Amino acid sequence: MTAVCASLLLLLGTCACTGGEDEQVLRIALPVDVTATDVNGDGGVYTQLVRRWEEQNPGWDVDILWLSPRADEQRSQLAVAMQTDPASYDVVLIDNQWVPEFSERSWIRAVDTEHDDLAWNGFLSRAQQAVCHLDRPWAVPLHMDVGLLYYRADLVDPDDIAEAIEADDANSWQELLELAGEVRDEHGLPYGYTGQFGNYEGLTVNALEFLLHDAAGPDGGQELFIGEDDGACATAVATSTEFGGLRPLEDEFTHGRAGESVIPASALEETETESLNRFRDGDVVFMRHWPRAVPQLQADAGGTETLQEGLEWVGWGGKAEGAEPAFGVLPLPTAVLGGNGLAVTEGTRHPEEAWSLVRTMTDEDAQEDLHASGLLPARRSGYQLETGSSTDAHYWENLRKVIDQGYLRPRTPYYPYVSEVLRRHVHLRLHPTTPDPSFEDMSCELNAALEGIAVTDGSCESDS
Amino acid sequence: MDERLVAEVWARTGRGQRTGFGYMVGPTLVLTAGHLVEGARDIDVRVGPSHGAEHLTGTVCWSDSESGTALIRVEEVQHSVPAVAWGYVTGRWRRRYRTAGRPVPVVDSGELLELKSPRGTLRPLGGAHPGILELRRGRGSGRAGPWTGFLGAAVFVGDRLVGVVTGCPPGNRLHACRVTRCIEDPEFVRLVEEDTGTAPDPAEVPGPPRAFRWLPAPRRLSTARRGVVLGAAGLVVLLSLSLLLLPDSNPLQVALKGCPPPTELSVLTTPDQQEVVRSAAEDFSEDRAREEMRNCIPVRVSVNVVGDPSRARELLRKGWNDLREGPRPHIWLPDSTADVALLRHGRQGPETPGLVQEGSTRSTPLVLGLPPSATDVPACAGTDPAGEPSSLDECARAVTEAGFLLARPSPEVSASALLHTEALYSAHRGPERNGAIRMTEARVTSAALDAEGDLGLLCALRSGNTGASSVGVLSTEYAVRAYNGEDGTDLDCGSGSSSEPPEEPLVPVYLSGVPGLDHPFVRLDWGEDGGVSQEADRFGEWMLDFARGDRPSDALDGYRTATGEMIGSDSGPLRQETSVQESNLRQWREKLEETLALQRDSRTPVEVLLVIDRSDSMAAPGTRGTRLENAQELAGDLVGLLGPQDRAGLWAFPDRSGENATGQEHVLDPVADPQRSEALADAVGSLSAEYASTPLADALRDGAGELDPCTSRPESPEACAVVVFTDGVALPEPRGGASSNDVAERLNGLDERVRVYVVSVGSEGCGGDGLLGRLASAGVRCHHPRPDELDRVAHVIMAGVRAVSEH
Repeated sequence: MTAVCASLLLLLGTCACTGGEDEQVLRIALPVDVTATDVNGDGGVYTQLVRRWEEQNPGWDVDILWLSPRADEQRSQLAVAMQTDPASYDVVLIDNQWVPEFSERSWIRAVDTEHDDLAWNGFLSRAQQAVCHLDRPWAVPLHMDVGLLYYRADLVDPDDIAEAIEADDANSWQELLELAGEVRDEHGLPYGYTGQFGNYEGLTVNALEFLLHDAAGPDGGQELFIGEDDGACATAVATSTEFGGLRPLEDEFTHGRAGESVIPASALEETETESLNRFRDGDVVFMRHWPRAVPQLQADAGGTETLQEGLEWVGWGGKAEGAEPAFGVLPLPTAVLGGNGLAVTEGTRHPEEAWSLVRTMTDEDAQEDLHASGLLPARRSGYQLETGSSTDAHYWENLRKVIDQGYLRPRTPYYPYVSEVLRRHVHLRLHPTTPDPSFEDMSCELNAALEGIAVTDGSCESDS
Repeated sequence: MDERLVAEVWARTGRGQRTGFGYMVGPTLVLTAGHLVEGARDIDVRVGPSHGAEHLTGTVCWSDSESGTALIRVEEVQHSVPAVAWGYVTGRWRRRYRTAGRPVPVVDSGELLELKSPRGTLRPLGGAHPGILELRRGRGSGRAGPWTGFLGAAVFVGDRLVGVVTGCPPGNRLHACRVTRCIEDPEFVRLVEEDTGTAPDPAEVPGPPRAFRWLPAPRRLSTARRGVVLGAAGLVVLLSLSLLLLPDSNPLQVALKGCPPPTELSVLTTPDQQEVVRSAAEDFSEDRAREEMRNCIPVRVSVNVVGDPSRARELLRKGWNDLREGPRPHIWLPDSTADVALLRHGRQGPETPGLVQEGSTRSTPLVLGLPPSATDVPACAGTDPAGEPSSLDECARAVTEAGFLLARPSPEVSASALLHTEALYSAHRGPERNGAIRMTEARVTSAALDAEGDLGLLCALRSGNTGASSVGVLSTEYAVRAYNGEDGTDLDCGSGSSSEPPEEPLVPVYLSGVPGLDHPFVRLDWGEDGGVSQEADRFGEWMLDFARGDRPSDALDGYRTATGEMIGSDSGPLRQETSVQESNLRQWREKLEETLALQRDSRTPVEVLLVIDRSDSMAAPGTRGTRLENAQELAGDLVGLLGPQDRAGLWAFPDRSGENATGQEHVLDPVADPQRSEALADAVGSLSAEYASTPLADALRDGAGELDPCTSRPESPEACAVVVFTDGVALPEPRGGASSNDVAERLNGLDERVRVYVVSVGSEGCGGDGLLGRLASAGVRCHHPRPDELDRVAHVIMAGVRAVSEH
């Protein structure tokens, strides 16, 4: 009897172990879903895409591990987990800026772009470039993001905006800020322009939009960061730059007289939320924001109970029909791209299923779902849907064009550090109370950051 | 390069003699090529200028077949050998090199044709083999004849020895092995260290001037490299495979591939410490980079907080199973060892990490910060850190009797407040203890200010309506100095607050028998280190250096070392510094838990009615997430500040009666039971913003009416509050339902124990002609917190309610 029991126990033990090894579960790490309807993160488009794959693959489950809503914490969480166990997750949704680092650290696998079910050629070229490192893509683009210029259509004619931006391409930002000041004065608004100038990643993006425009120049010939050919990482800042692109902002924040600034001084502490509130409250003529603000502002106008009466949506470059408050969007003089991609980890024990999940979450049907939820698809087809009004179609068509012309942030394995160094210097330059910073120091420290090295005592000062 | 150290090497084998060069790298050691001395029976070395060279006998003491290098030990010690400058080259720019060999005459038929002496340029990343430098011979090198005579010659770039000639292939190039490959062998390092007294420590040979670095070399090179790579694809594959087999931080990898991305080290700390620790972590990363080849940044320290210390303890206790809270930490820097006591000896779960406490990173004594006029009170004379300290209980009693008010952070969420409170309570024993504790609580909360931490409380004092000249705070010396703006310290209260030092600074009164904050360094052992243990150890040592006073840093100005010296200031040493001791954590945990229980029991009960706006505008963006989510978070904060004797209920408006609804849904009637927090959290979390109307004034009028009179409520609370979370209304007055006048009428004559609050989570403020402004004019206590004030709102409201109940 004892022997029988022992055999049974052994058998049970074997079964249990085998069951563990054959466990049909994929683990995917996703940032908290901005489209979620549930406080636990469920009910959004990410969950919808994951559940679709589960339905197509009976017997398999996907565990979603929600990460912090803050981007810097997401990267840190993934880094801590992958350092400890490269098999922590099978699939990770990563900011495109982290692709070089994750690839260099051998945490993620290169994408087989030849796979029939992936339809790699259907992705926007910018989306493909954004996930590329050393000539190979390491993630499959999920969705994109791009900065837009929001304007009060009841106060300013979009033709005047286009004229200001295009009249003197090299000084487009300056022209735009001047127009903002004129419209502000004409209509008695407190301010003309606002963006995200608080000391966080938003400042990196907003500053780069000024810097890259200046570096590109009228003929678009020069680059701010060099060494990015062929998907390689940025290795240095262009020789001739004196970061002159920041001058319009410096003039605003450090030389503007009280009460005359086009940009509110407190914008130096503000993020997307505060700038959107300023625009929706009618405090500014122009706002730089992401496309996700469009449905939020539309909801204001459609809601029955809002603080303001709401701003009517006039679409891409539209004009207001009456005097009622209205808003439209146009391209910024230069826009910086954002976006995320799905990557399969090097340590996954289920690579086939992991790739299958990634392909399902990024296929054309999925891109329609992303479009419907207000996120920007990474495939061209996501911008060519036949549903919706002609205003919508025009908007999405132009959105795609802006993405095609958008700029990627420097791709480097040391991106978090590069971004910190860039915004520390920009913050100093824009802050009226700090001593006059030198652009040589900024170049020197950025070049060091792009190589992943620290500036040791005095090594930058001696050159400046 | 020192000509005196150039060595000519004759190696005799059974089949003949080979000649080449070497270089003295120590009093008895000559670095040369392995092929030159391989299988040699006798080795003759001539050191010094050729006309007076000294003949020495040598033997091979080390060789490495992979790198093709060898060390010869000579029998006679050369006393005048200066230290060799070891080096390496990186990057894609060409560098000029020289070889340390004598010019070799090329003679034909007795006629001297030329003197060969290799020199030219090398490209650090140009070699087809890892570790091999490819030397291009320049014009001055000579043209004819074989080059094998230069085997073993040292290769210099600038004044640094970077390689040894190990190969002379046909064509215009020589091969040299990098000396960094030799230095990777511990035996080589040992031999050199024994010989010279110093281990070889290669430094990067500085690159070309910055002006040249700006040139588009990488791009030109990128195109050129493509050609080379295509032409030698097989070799590149070999190189890549070799690189893959080496760790990223290997010097060779660094030289060839650049710096590896830094290791991620995650640190958990408290809101009061976050800025200081972040600044110290940046200093640490830079210090570590100085120790690394090329100054590569080896570690990135992310410094995170998760709210108050009790929340951090709870997450650690449960094994950090919710990643939405932030990365799982490797290191915990709480305010006090008291936090460690509460976690280590509290309810630990199977997922709780092991705690390894490694000592104090810095300290700050607990003090009573008083307005200058209050220091005339004799019981509060202990204002000299080196002098006699005061008794906290006596000083607190005396200043309140003199007409001053006091404030303290919540002991549940602040280690300093908990230690202060423990000291206050322990002054009372015997049958009258409970009454005395109630009196003490009334004193230390009399200013009706509250916050999560010491800095938050001082921000509340700075921005509050209570006159700072009449308020004292139970705080820390560091926080008081930051409030005063002393010695470069600063109190950052957010964008909307003044950064100017106050007109009337606080004077710290030092206290007897109250342990200070020791800010311990705690390693968290999760059973796997993820390869970060070395960096975590180094960060620990680095931080602990502060406590010993070995590492001055601006980041920690205003704190004290372990011996009581003030960092960054000449302020005198502390007479007596005590802290919670690691040796008696169990007793401390018992004392602190008893204090928390006594504090909860000492409070008189209050009742709070939470009322949440669920109109569709609440779905618009707020400061963090939607406005409704902000309201839900703040409501949760309020519930967390209630004790077991308190009651709380939940209403939501509008009710579900249609587009013009003016009523409220009574979601949860006020209850006081242990399950209340969970039930309330579920009920609050289930609300959604989807209704058309915003009957705000109705909710305020009806909520106030429900609680009036407060004493008529079940279990007779000592104070009642209705707290409404809303984003306001579009119109100055609603189209239907109650108006601000109706609210004013209701508030007029309201039981003085009932307080009515509105918290605006939208963009409408409490002033102006909007409904919120009108309600504020009608007597409603309106708060419109800035983003940085969100964490303080619940504390401020509860401090106000408690003040009503206890006075």
